[in-house]
Amino acid sequence: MFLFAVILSFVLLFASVPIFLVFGLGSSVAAIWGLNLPWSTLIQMAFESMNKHVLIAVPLFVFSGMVMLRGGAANRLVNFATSLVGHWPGGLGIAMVIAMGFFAAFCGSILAAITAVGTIMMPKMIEEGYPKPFVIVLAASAALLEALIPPSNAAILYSALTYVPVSKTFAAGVIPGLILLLFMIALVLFKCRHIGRYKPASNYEKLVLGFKAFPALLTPLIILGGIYGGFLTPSESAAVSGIWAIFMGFLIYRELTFSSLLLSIKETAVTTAVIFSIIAMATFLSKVFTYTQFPQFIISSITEMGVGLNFFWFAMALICLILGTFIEIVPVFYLTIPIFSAIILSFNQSLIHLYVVFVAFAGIGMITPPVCVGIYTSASVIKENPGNAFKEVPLFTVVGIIYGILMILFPILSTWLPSLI
Amino acid sequence: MSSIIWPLQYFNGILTKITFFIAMVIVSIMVLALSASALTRYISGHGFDWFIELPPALVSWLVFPLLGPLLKTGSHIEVDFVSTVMTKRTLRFVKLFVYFISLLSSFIFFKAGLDATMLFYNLGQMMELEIDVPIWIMFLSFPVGFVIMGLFSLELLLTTIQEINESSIN
Repeated sequence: MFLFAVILSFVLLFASVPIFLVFGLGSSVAAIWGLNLPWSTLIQMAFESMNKHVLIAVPLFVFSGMVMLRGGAANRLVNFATSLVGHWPGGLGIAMVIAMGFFAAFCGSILAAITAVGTIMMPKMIEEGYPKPFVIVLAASAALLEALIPPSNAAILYSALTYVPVSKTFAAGVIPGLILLLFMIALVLFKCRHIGRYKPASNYEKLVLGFKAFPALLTPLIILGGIYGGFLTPSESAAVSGIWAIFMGFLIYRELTFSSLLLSIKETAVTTAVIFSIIAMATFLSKVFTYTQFPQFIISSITEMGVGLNFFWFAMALICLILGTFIEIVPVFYLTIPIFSAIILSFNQSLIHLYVVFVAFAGIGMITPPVCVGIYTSASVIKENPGNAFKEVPLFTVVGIIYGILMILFPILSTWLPSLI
Repeated sequence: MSSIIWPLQYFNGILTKITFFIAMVIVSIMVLALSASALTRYISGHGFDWFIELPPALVSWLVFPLLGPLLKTGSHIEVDFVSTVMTKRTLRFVKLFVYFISLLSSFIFFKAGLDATMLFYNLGQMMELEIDVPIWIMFLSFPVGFVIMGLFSLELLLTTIQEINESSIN
């Protein structure tokens, strides 16, 4: 019966059946007919996993990002970043990476970040002679930044799965996120060093643009200050950032309209339903894992084979790369983290370190075809065929793998900041 | 065939508007309730459980009713691999299979959800909120959502059959 469930899941997966149904049907076959579990238990578990308070932060950060996308914050950030680094070699590319980093720091939506910053920067960069495929993949790589720089939805989902406090997973992503930002800047510097530079902005211009971007730059302070200051729970800080985004959009930048606010709410509802339907149905799978003691079986097999930690990291990286190529990061989380977390604990390693390494490798999958939502989104911003951008993917993949290896070799990069909390 | 599809499309169109309206109201409540929770705690020193507990309790009514409309718009996450390697005609048959699976699973999950809801209704269990709300109200979203998804799956299945018939005639 279990073999049938696995085969059924693969058939449904490759037939393009929505993943929440793949999880639901495949796991139900194993749970109901293989383990004789009652439906009421499965459904109750699904509701419990969806109703975790910390998960409410996910739709609220998405909402905040959607409102900022339409409220004019992105524009100010891009202008400010361009005034700071636009005159460097590859300056516009670096400005886009920095603006993406900023935007990721107050928005929970990868696609909102790509659309918000990419819409402004990508046409400008192409006009200045940056190669189109490079621009598309660079914008799409924001996916990884968003997954690491807090507040990140990936961190919230990981915390909900492993019971690591969100404040710690948020903190774990800060240094690796900044290092990734530097990696991307180095890549732009190397690849676009011959492309024309912008006229340097005067100090006065920098001051004015900085002043205009100041309300947007306050947002991460509100979110993270609220959480680490002990004033707000992660969900409350997400809600407050949403209210702040509305306030900025209507009263400070005056670019938000009532209809664009409604559109932001609608898009938030869609993203929430897509993510939470997977969370609900993936719980069926975790129930099957619990009853069959599958993670324990994997751990004992690893112990019997005498496999070391390095082999585990290698295998995990490979699995994340392969799965990330075909599936988006949320289902990959729910499919693998229950097993990976059990194994990493058996090696006496930190779950926080696992989070960063996992995101580093699964995140690469976000830019590798055929399933690369980041590239599809950024290509659609400039109405370009995504297939034309694929030739730049290997370069970014190699850089991503080097970055991932660095994260494996130096656990202190991910564990030091959380240890201070 | 079109005499069945048209009324179904019309009805599903109305369902789409209703489900999106409910989902948007829930998102707004979430934002307002949790902001109010933070504000009241900051001002008065103590928060209200309702503000904190209500958003998670509402999530299921946001998620499950939207499954059907999102199936129609193709918004669900899926492995979009076959579309790159198959011809248009073969792809229609794959879609037929996907919508059939969606219809079948809608029926299975509707039946399972209804049984679970009835169980919690008979148990009379309450949510852990300040004001007593029966827990079955939350669980009811599951069968309701899958009925809606069933209707959308049926519409998509019939539309795809019609497309296949039309292409074979041409």
